[in-house]
Amino acid sequence: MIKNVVIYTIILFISYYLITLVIPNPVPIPEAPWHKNELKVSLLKTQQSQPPIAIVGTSYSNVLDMQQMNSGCINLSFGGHTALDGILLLRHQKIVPEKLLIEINYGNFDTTGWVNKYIQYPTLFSINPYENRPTVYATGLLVKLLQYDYVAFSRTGQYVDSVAVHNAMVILKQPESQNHNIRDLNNYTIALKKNLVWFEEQGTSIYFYLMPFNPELCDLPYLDKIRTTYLSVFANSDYHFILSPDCSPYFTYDGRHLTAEEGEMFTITLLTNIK
Amino acid sequence: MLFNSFEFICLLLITFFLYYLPAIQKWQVFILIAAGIVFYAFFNPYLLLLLFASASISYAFTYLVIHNNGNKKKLFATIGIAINLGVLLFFKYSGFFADLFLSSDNVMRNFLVSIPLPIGISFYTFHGISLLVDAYRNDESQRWVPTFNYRNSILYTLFFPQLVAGPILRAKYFIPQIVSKQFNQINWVFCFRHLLIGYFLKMVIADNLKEQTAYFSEDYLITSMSSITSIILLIGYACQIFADFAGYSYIARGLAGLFGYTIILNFNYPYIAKSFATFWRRWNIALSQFMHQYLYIPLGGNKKGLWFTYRNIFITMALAGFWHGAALGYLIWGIYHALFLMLERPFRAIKLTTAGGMIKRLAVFFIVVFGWVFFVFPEPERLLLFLQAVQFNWQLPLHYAPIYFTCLYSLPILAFHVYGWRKENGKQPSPVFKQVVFAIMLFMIIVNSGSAGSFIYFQF
Repeated sequence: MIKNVVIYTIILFISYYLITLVIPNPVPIPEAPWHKNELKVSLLKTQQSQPPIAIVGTSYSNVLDMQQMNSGCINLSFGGHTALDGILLLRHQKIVPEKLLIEINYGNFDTTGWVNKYIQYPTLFSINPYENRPTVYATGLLVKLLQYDYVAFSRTGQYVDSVAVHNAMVILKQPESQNHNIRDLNNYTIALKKNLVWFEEQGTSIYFYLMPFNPELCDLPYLDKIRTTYLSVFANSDYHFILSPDCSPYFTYDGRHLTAEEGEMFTITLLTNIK
Repeated sequence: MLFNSFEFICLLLITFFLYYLPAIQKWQVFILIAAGIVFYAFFNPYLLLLLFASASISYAFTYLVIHNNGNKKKLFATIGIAINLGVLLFFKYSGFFADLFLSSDNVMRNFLVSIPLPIGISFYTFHGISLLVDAYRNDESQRWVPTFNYRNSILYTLFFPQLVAGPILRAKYFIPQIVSKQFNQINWVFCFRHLLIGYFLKMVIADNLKEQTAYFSEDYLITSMSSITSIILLIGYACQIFADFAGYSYIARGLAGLFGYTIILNFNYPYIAKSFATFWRRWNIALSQFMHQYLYIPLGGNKKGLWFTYRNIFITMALAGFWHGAALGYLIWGIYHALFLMLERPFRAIKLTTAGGMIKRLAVFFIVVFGWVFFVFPEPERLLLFLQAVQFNWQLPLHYAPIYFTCLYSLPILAFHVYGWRKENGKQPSPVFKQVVFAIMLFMIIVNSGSAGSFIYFQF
């Protein structure tokens, strides 16, 4: 029985490999934030040249439209993680962007550690045998074979009505919710500063930016705290700050995350500011 | 140390190699105890002291129970059980009660709330109780008494396949198995099948569904989900918790088999249960049997009339729910099941048609699924948020991606139960079909595992 199972598994592997050969340049099909993060890390491995722009941040910056930027620009915004994770990865891969854009909407250490694990155990990180195509999950491939438009598919559901946004915002306005976002802000910014020295020595221009929220959340006290902390920790004329985005055009789909269209809109604003 | 971690694989290989090494075969029990110590120490080495203290106290009182008669025997059994329950109460529930009854600036309250929950405490204290009760009862269980000693008693608690998340082993079934084991006695097909099913359920189903049900972890996401998305994610959670816990139990059974031990089949296709009573004979069978034998029956079971039976069901299920965690939600979950067990009791004898039976199975399934809300949201405020979202968000658009992947990863659980249902009706697929299914499982483990997450039952 065991022998037969192993033989059938090998046959499945061969079939799977052939299917992945038939589908050229497969569109990545991330199923969850974790897969999206892994996908970005795997694409980083194939980075040939030094990028003109690198973005590091959280899930808020996931929505920035990379098609509006020059080819070679990279977006290392990790859902459930922080900008520091992206910076650690860039350093580890020795990638020196001309401009480094750091999203600062979130500042605690809760989520870091994931990248360290990747850096220490790169081979254990993904057990998918197709190192060159780690993003093609078997289930994702099924979606592809069924010819879903995954980009449209994954965006559906982001357009929620004002009741849901309102409900979400009631929660976000609560002091505990705000404090959670900046629980470790001072230590976080110090760690950030330490890791930015290397980029500065390589001549990278560093920009700190805040992603816009729904206008009702734009003036939350914790965002003010973030602004003042960054301006004091990075009190140096070499840094650039984009800390007061005009939130009025952005409704968001949950109070904090921009919809795809809003993401495209803010990308234009961001690019204008760093010219 | 997770069963799917690199460290665990190393520990398993080393233990397995030493265990069957002919030169040191007489040390087999000590090798398993050492493996249990390393396994547990990976979580927190200091808590080993508590584990050893608990196991040693259980041993000492069991010894006294075995070597005394009459009132003394009863007294020692009672003290032993009280100590085990005391340890469990202190480490698991004192923070909960302190939080409930003492003000937030009370020093004692803050101390009790800060006590960490020792991993596996619910399981090893129950093992201690099983040891004492089985020793006390003067029935066929006494057959294990001649093989009872400190070494065997420690292995019973520290047997690593079931150390931190069960299934709860009965002393009278486990201790007699502690004899010399031979390599050629291993049932490889049994072990392979259980390990494969277990790892598939955990790594492919539970770990991937975890990514979708993570929507429940943020309050603002709960409120912004459409009602249908919320309901589908709740069904996904029902599949996730089954895959997670049944996966663990299958792996535990396969691992135990590698070392020559047989442990209870803890899940028997629970979602095809045709009643709540049968659901509890199929879900976490070890806990159900424990609660039935050591609480429901001693309370009088169903021998003292209808109202006493209802009272006993209520107490047993409420405590079984509360055993899962020190939060109101778990207690309500137990009471919720108790109510349905009581409700169906007068109608047990009614014969149903095939269609009626199917409808009843579906009704039981959906009521059980709804009951998981108390697990997902043990805090009343978050439960309320979820229920409000389900009630009011019908007009919101669907979140297709989480719905799609939740359905996709829940499908194997459906297929698993259909297989179970057919098997119970005497319909078995061909051996080749089974082998192909196992091959698909192995293939999916390699190419489609989710991010490794802790087992849900570790927290209990």
